Amino acid sequence: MTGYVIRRLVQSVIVLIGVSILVFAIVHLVPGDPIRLALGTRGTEETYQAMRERAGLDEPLVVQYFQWIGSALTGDLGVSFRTGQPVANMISERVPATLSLAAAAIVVALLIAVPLGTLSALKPRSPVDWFATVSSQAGLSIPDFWMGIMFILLFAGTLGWLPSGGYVGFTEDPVQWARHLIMPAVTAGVASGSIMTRFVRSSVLEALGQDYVRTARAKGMRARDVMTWHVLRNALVPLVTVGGVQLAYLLSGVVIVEIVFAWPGLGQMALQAVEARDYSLLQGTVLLFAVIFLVVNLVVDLLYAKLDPRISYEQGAAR
Amino acid sequence: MTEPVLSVRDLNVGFRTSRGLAHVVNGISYDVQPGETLAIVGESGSGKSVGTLALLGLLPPGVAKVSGSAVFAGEELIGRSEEKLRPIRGAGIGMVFQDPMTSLNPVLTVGRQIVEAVRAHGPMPKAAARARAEELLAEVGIPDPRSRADAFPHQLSGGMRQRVMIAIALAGDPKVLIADEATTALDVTVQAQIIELIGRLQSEHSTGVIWITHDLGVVAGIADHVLVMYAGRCVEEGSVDELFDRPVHPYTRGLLGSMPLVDDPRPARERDPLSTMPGLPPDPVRLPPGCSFYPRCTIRADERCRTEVPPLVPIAGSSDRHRAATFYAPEGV
Repeated sequence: MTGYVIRRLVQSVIVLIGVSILVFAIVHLVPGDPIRLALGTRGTEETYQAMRERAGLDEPLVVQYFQWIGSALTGDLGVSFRTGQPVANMISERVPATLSLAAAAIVVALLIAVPLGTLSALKPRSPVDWFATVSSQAGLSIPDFWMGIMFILLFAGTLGWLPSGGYVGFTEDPVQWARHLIMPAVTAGVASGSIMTRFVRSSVLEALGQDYVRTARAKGMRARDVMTWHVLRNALVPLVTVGGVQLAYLLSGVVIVEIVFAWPGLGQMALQAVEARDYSLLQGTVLLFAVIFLVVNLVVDLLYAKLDPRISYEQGAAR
Repeated sequence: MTEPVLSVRDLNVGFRTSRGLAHVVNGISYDVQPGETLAIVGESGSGKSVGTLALLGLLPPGVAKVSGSAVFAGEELIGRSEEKLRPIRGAGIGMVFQDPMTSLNPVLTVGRQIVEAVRAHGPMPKAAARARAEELLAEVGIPDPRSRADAFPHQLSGGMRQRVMIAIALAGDPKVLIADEATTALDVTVQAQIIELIGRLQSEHSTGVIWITHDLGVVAGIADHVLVMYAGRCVEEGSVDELFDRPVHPYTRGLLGSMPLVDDPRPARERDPLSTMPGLPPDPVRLPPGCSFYPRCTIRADERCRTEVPPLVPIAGSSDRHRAATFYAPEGV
């Protein structure tokens, strides 16, 4: 297992180098000059040149790349052109908000997908199944910004139960943290939940038809135990993959939901970085998203081996 | 004769399909005596497995339509609720299925799967159940049961897996064991071991065994009573000697004719060629009006064969348990 993890980490480094080149190239090829944008109409030609030099933008691209990647290895992602703050600090300030939202949204998604998908698999072509199909279709089709605005109108406006947006740190006030989290988490969780409902339904249906489920029933096990240990336990394996992808997606910032709810997460910051041509900030965030995807995928693959003993990552143990 | 432990009368199973009701089992009756082996023989799709799954309510609900009667230890099984069938499953009637690879859950250890069977019928502390599981593994001839209990199914050989299945079936100490093609997926040498194992356990616990198979060689070796099924009907039944020595139904005769004789003294090229039966079993949605075997029958002795379903009647000159459903009466039987 250790050997496998090391091999995967080496692969991840190669992928990250590729990603960093790609990110760097795209960011620098996008039209628009960050210094002019930052200066606005105020700057003279001298200050413009001075700032370009200070940011290293007068160097050839290859040199700029190696300067960036070299300091990135030491944890220094550069300084934001727009705010003048270190990028690493700006990112780490946003991490708690993004983590809270992603974790809450994946919980919402699972709370929707597991019961609904299981019920519809247990009674195919029943009203429950019909409801699950229609509602997951709706959950996928309704744009999240519209759903978010409707939630705000209803729960923040008409009913006045929840704040319409913003973020309060958990350490500051846990109650306010939770109150602010509910609407964005539900908005972001519904779409993920809808995708996962279909996966749960099909994997539970598949597990239900397996011979070992018949064996479990023939043993005289309680229906509930058969369901838990032979149907859901086995249906969990494919669900981990989909859940992992969804979690990575949520962790890399749900831009629209963050904007609707004025949520100070990474997605929102990435968008602002694009708008301001804030090269170092954008490069830093996109690199972080790549790391998140790589880590989540590795964790998913390791979980796979834990959940399904037939999967072994030991060398030479391939079956 | 002792009281049968399982008594099935006029069992019918139909499956609702988009084309109509498929008549998979049509009026099967049999008794299983304690310690006796009943073999149910037939080709794939003849309804032999479905008929036994129906006893324990293991067919998909809402699709299968089951009628008739099956009395186990004085209790009617057909029409019972899921919750009332549960105490019978495993503890009254145990089952061993065909393919031990797919019949065992790949993500749970075999020990755990046996423990589940042990604890399904009453509370038992985990440690005690685990000890019982190891005992069962030893009983079915698995060496080093303590460590094997922690193995996953894919880590065991096919024969070992089938032994695990048998251990699971024995966990509830059943009075009847249904072995549904239990040796079909195994190598011939392993088949013999499994047959011997079930035979030994059967005599130790005086279990009634229903052995479902299409392998007549197995039947000849182990069965007391044989029931031949074709298209969901019993076409002939009798003791193993009666059936092998004096088969009456054209289908039974055809089946026996398609089996090579191992002890034929003639050299291979001088032997009679193996006979085959042309055609396929009838569509269970549209069974022929007369004898189900009529479309494939080469004898067709009687005009009634086409229009009337022949009743299952005792054969003249045989014991009253040798019965066949045919209008054909071969000479010298």
